[in-house]
Amino acid sequence: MQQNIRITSHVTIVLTLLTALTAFLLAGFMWLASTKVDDIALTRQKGYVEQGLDEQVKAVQHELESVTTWNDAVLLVSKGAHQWIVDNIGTWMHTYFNHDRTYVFNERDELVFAMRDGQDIAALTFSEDEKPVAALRDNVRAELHKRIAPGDAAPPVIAGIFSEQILAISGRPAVVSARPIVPSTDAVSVDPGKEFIAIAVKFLDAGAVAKIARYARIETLHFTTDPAESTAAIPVIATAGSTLGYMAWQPIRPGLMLIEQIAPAGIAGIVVAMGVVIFLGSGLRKTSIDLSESRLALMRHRDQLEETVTLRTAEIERQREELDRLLAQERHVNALQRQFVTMASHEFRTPLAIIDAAAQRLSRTKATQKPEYVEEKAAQIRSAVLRMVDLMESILSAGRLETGKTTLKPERLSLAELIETCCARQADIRESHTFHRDLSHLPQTILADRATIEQVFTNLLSNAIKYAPKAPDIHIRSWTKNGMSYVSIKDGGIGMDAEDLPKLFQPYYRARSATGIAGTGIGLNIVKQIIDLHGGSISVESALGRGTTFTVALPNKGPLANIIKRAA
Amino acid sequence: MITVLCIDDEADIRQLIVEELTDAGFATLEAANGQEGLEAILTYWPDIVICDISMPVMDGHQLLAEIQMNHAELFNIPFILLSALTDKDNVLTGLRAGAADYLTKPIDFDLLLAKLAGCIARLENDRAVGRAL
Repeated sequence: MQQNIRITSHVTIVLTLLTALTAFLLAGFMWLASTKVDDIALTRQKGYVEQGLDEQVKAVQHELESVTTWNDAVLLVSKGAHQWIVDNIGTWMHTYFNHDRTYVFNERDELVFAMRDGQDIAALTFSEDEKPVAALRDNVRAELHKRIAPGDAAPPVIAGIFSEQILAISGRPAVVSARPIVPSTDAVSVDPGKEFIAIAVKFLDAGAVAKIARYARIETLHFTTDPAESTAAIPVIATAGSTLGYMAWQPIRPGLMLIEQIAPAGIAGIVVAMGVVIFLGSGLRKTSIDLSESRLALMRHRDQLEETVTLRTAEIERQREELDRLLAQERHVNALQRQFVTMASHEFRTPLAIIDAAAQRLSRTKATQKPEYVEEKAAQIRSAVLRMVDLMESILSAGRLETGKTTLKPERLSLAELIETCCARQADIRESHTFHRDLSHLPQTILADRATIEQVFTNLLSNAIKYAPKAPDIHIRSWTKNGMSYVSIKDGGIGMDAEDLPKLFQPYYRARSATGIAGTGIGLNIVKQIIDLHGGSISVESALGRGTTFTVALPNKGPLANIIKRAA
Repeated sequence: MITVLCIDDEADIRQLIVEELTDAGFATLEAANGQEGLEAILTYWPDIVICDISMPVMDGHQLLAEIQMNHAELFNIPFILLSALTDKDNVLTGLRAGAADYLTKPIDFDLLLAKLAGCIARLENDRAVGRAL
C-alpha cells in the first residue's frame, strides 16, 4: 500500500511539473504576442510590399523590351505604320502589362506616337508634367550617339541600352522606362543614328498597387502622400532620391495575431499537452495501481503460501506427534499386557500349586491320614479353587467392562452392611489385619448394583491388606455430601510415588512400589470402571512409604442420578 | 538333622512344604517374606533355603542380592528358588544371583526332595573335604 502511495505521488509530481511547464509556455506566448508578434507581422508585410513594388518596377523594362526588340517593330515603326503601332505596342502594353502611357520617338526625337490610358493621342505634345520623360529619351539618345562617335570606351551594345527612373508625373509616382527599338535578329538592321525610341510609363498608384496588394495579401494597400500613415507603409523613393509618397495599408489590430492565430494554437497546444499529461498520468496511475495491485496479490499469495506451509508443517508435526504418542501408547500397552500375562500366570499358578501340593500330600499320607487332615487339605484345595474362580471372575469382568457388556442391576442396598460383609470376608482370609470401621454416616440405603459394588470394596480392601503387609490397621471412614455417599479406605502400607497416581487406574498398570507383590494390575481398573458406571468417582492420595487412601463416591439415587443431573 | 528354611508369603504353600519336609525327616523353619527370611538365616543358619520370588517387603531376588552384597558368609548356603514365575528372565536372574536351583509351581514334591538330596550330598562332600583340608 505504501508503494502505491509513492508511485501516485510521483505521478502527481510529473503532472504538476508538466502543468507548470505548460503555464510557463503559455505566459511566454502571451508576452511574445503582446510585444513581438505585431512587429513581426508588420515587418513581414513591409517585406512583401517592398518585394512587390520592386518586382513591379523591374518588370517595366522587360515588358518594354518584349515589344521593342523585334524585327517587325523596326521595320513597321520606321515606316510609320500607325495602326500597327497602336495594336502591337500601345494597346499591348496597356492591356497586357497595365502600362499607363506609351510614347514612340523618331530618329529626330520627335514624338510620333503617344497613348494615354489606352487612348491613342492625336495631339502629340508633352504636358509640363511629362517633361521628365523627355529626359529619359535624351539619356538613351546619348548612349546611342556613343555608337556613332565612340570615345575612348567601347561602344555599348545596342540591345543593352535603356534608361529607367522612378519619378513623379503629375504628382503621381511612376516608373518610366526608355529603350531604343531594335531588331531581334541579324536579318534586319538599323542604321546608327536612325533609331526610334519607345518609352513606357507605369503609374505605381493605380494597377500596380492592386497587383502588389494581391501579392502581399494586404487588401487595404494604397498609395498616399500622407506621412502620418508611415507606420504601416513603405516609402516610394524616386531615383533622384526624393520620397514620392508611401505604399500604405491598414496595420493589423494589436493582439489580432494573438487572438486569431497564436491563442488558438496555444490553447490547442495546452489542450494537447493536457491531454498528453492526462493520458500519461492516467497510464502511469493505472500502471502504478496495476503494479501495486499485482504486488499486493503477490504478497497475499506469498502470505497464503507461508500460512499453508506453516499449517501443513504443523499438521505434519501434529500427526508425527500423534503417531509417536500412539506408538508409545501401543508399546506401553504391549508391555502392560506382557506384564499382565506374566502376573496372571503367576496368580493362577499359586492356587494351582496349593491344590497340587495338597493333593500330593493326601496321596502320600493315605496310609496314615486322619479324617481331620483330609478335611484340612480339602479346605485348602477349596480355598485355592475359590481364589482361582475369583481371579478368573475379575479377569472376565474386566473384559466385560472393557467391551461394555456389563449391565448394572441397581437395587436398594445398605452400603454399610455391604462393606461389613466384605470386611468380614477379608478377615476370614487374612487374619493379619484389623479393619477400623466408621460407617455410621452413610444413608440407610442407596441405589446400586450389589455384585459390582461388592467387587469394588473387595478389591480395595484386599489391596489395602496386600500393599500394607507391615501395617495391620486399616481405617474405613464414611460421610455423605450433596447426595453422594463417600467411603475412604486408608492403609499404612508401602504407598506409591506421585508419578504413579495418574496411571493407577489404567488397565494392567502397577505402581513401581508394588514390585514383588503379586497382582495383575486389573483390580483398580475394574473398580474405576464400575464406579464410573454408577456415576460416581474415585480418588487416591498416597506417598511412598506412607500408606494409601482411596476415596469412593457413589450417588445415593443410583447410577442414573448423576448422569441425568449432568445432562440437565 | 538338616534344617531347611522355607520362605513364602502364601501360608498354605508354606504349610504344605513344611509338612512334606517334616515327613521326609528335615527340621524346618518358616518365613513369610525376604526380610523375615534373612533374619531367620542370620539367626538359625539353616542348611538349605527354599525361597519364593514374588513376596511383599523383600522378594526372592532382593534377598539373594542382599546376601551376595552384604552377607558373603551366607553364600555357601544352597538356595532353591521355588516360584510361580516361569519366565526365562526370572530363572536366569535367580541362577545368576547364586541360586542352586530354580523350581516352578505347582510343586512336584518328588522333584523338590531329589533337589534337596542333591544339595545335601554336595554339602556333605564339601564338609568332608573341608575336614580333610
